Amino acid sequence: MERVRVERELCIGAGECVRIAPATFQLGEDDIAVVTDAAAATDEQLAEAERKCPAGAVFLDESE
Amino acid sequence: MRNVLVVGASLAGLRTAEALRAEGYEGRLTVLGAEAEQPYDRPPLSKEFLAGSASPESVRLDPRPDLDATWLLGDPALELDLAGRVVSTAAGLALPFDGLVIATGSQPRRLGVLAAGPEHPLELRTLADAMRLRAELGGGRHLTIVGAGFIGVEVASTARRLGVDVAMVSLLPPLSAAGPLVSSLAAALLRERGVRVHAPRTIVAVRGSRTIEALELDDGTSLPADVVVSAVGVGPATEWLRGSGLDVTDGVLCDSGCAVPGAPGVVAVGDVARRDCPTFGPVRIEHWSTAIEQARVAARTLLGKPAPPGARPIVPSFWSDHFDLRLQSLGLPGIADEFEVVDGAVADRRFAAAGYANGKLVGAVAYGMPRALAPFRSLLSAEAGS
Repeated sequence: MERVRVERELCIGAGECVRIAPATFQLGEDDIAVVTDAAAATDEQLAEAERKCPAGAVFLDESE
Repeated sequence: MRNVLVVGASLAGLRTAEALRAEGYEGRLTVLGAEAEQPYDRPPLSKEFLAGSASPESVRLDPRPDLDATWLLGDPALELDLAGRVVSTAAGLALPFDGLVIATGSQPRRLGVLAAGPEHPLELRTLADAMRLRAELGGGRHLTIVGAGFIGVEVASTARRLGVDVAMVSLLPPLSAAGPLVSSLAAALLRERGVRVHAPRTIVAVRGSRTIEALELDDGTSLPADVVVSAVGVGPATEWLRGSGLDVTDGVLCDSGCAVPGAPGVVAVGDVARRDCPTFGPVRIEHWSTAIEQARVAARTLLGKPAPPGARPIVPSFWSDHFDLRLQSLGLPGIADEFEVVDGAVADRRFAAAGYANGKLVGAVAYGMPRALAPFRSLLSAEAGS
């Protein structure tokens, strides 16, 4: 399972995840966030990205 | 647009300034802030920062490196002249603009009975407030918190962890804004952790000659206190707009694109904005996530661009950490007249519940179940759009 994913339908392109973990998240051409490298962020960064996403669009793998 | 002035240097102002650049704005950008500090994040002030586990540096919001803005800090806005398109400041500056972002946020409400006392209690809104309060919280101290909202409950939680004796006085039950289900659990948690909650009670007098020595309640109780914190909610910081002609009834009225009606080239964002929302009409939402979401919308509006591609009716959301639990809220659970537990159990302090008003889904809350609310985002968004 992916470590982290962004739900396209929920993303509003605020870019908080990109600020927190720029090596893992990027805004695509449609301003929707995409995961470019899930391994590039620490667990803490991913947890912060999940919590701070204003749209609740960042999801972590719950099996960890 | 060649000259944009952002009034307010906190989250909403900073994020709007950044969004203007991200959207291609190349003109002058000035950010005016009432506080002397660089922008910082407020949510940790009542949690990690107050507990002593976060430094002032760690709560700073670092602006994007290419922001290229002029920062005027420690200088509150005094007046807006809409016709002349200029904002005057307390330090005597006259700042002309062709685009204006109103982002002055909110400020603590004050109770008359406390204002009449020998000194005003501490408050918790700014970094300076948090540093003052932090210095007062040590083991063996007696803290009285006035108000049982999110700030009050978070301060109670942090203070108990620091070994402080805590009493709470409130007209409303704890966390009543999140609905009765959350409220009764919060009341139980406060009791268990040794916080003496006096609610529903009002303060009738403050005793003390130079400092506050005790609060007298309407049931005859006298609450002695070393430290008193007032946390009875906030109101929009609109005093500087009083003579501007703008509608500032409970915040600056703006449309769904954050544009202020009757004032071309003016937008409002964050706590100060009373923005039109398809479901609830104009509503002022004091949430961190709402400030972030509005910033981009407002920046595009100011630049004459249509709403962002991903834009959709907002689903207000917030979180609160207290007593080792995380409370999360979506929508407006405070207006619900009926709750349905959809996951976990209230008795286990782990549950998610949907809130309905007249049979319509209006919000959802979760305690100790960080991911249980995800499905409700889409549902509430769909409800708002229908």
